[in-house]
Amino acid sequence: MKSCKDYKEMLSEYIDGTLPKGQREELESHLKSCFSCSEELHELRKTIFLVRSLPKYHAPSTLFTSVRERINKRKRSKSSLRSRLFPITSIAMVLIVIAAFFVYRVTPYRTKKYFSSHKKVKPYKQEVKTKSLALSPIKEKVKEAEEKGYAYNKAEKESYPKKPREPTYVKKKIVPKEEVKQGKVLQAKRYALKNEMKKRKKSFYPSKVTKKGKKNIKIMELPPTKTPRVYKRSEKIEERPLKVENRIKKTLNEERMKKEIITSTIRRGETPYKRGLSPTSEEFRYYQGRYKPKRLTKKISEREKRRRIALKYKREKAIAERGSTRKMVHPRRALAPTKERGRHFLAKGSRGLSYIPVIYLRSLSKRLSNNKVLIKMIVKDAGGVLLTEKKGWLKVRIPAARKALFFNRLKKEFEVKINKRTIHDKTEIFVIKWEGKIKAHK
Amino acid sequence: MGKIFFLFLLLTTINDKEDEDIKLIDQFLSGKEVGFNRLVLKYQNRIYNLCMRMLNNEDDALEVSQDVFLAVFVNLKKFRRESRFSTWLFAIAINHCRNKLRKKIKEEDIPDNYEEIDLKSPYKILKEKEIKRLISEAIKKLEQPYREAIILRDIEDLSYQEMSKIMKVEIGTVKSRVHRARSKIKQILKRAGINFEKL
Repeated sequence: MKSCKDYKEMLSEYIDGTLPKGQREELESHLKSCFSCSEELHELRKTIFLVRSLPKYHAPSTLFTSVRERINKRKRSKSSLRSRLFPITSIAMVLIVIAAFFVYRVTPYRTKKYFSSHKKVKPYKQEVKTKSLALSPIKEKVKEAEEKGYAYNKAEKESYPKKPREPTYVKKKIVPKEEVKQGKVLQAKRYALKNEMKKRKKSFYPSKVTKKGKKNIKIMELPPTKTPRVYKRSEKIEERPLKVENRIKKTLNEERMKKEIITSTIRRGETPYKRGLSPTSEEFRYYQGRYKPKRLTKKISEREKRRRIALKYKREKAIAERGSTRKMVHPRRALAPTKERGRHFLAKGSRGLSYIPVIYLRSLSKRLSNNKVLIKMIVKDAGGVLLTEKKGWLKVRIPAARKALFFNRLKKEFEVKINKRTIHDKTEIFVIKWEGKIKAHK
Repeated sequence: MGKIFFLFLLLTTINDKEDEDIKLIDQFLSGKEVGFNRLVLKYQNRIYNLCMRMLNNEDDALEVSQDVFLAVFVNLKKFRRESRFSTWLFAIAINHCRNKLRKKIKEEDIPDNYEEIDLKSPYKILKEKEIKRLISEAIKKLEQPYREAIILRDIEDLSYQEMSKIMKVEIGTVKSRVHRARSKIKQILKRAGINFEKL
């Protein structure tokens, strides 16, 4: 025997018309006799009707365009140069590496000179260092000593005479007079060569080429000029912010320049009025000796340094002993309930306004007639912290102990939407949202 | 005779719809994007409606429906044509909605125990607008599987088989979920003060 509960579960399928024939007949016969089941059927039918009658949302016209936009963006990024060249570049890289390896292995000339200069190519001779089989005199002696059965004496080793170095002599050339003349000629030649090199250098840049230079020098190819980067429309040209060091340099420079201007005026014996400085400007005051620019770097004396180090050690020692330098506050003292505060004790920084109705608060001052300010105050009273403040929403962190209090008060006073986000047991994050201006309940 | 003719007509219309989708897909796969554009225009309202009912937020719904069509654009090659295109599309949409909800779950609306649904005045209950608001509110309050079930069944009007493919559960569970969702909505409406006899 089926109970009413079983039959009720079949109702939904019965309405959809997907119930098998046997079950359907059984249900129909039951419905005739059972009032509650037939009522349930009626109600279900109504609800389904209501749900089906819900208006359908139509997609905004922006949907199609934005989909197309995103697809095009995707295509563009896909067909960008890098991605298109990626397989080719990778293959090319591998080929280059292989080629380089072969070149290195096959060529006999591995010296730097071979690749850098074209004038003279010295064939690379592989020097094979042949180790002489004969042992060094000291080692021989050691071996001898070992064979004979006693240790080699160190003193003997030290006494072994070292090979004397060949003395180096600086030979002074006695130059005959004719050669002196020749030397002068050589010097002149060298000078001419230098000049020519200079001219050659100049010839790289067509604007500076002189007529004389052109005669002697062969036509040389110009170095590749850098093409200026062309920015696309979509690209934003961003100015790079100055680094900290550069900023300091800049300010220092400005300071120096200011000083120079003023000193120059003094040197010339001009009055600041003559230079056209306004009497309220810093330069004017500086000139009159009333203004001193701040020193950017302070010089610290040795004694001061020592004092500071000693202080640091002292502080560290204190921290190690006490645990922290902060003063300890007992948590119960911070949240102690009092007679006035009642059952719900207040947070530490609160001004005790959380029990005063908003209407009264508004009459207190003009600032408190702003709803946002009031909300912030309520947050503060609940011991909360304001995390972010944006147009249309606030994000706050409230201790879990006072969250219900905070929530109820806010809901009672203002027309705002409050979303919750739990972090852990002790605190909770609330997002307070509103549209346009915050409205207060009347 | 008339019945058979009607059935035949119905079948042919269904087949026509499917054929149209397949034609558009083929068109797209052959390189013409017109096919895809037409698919988007054809299904955008249904997908947006589904997202809107699932997420209850216009911005999210718009974003998710964009994502859905982008996913279709990318994965249309992989569509194996074992089921209808619409089923496949809805499966993608439901998955996207689930992902969005999973991300959003951290920042959730405050549950009902904070406050009951507030009725502004008994006057308005009679008005259709208020009832519709109540129904959508009730759908909002359902748990996710039940919400999915009722949206797909009663709003999008899909069959149980299609639903089982989309939701990736067996038909039995789909049926029970639909029934439970309906009875839950009924309960919520009753609690809100709607008299079913007068409707």
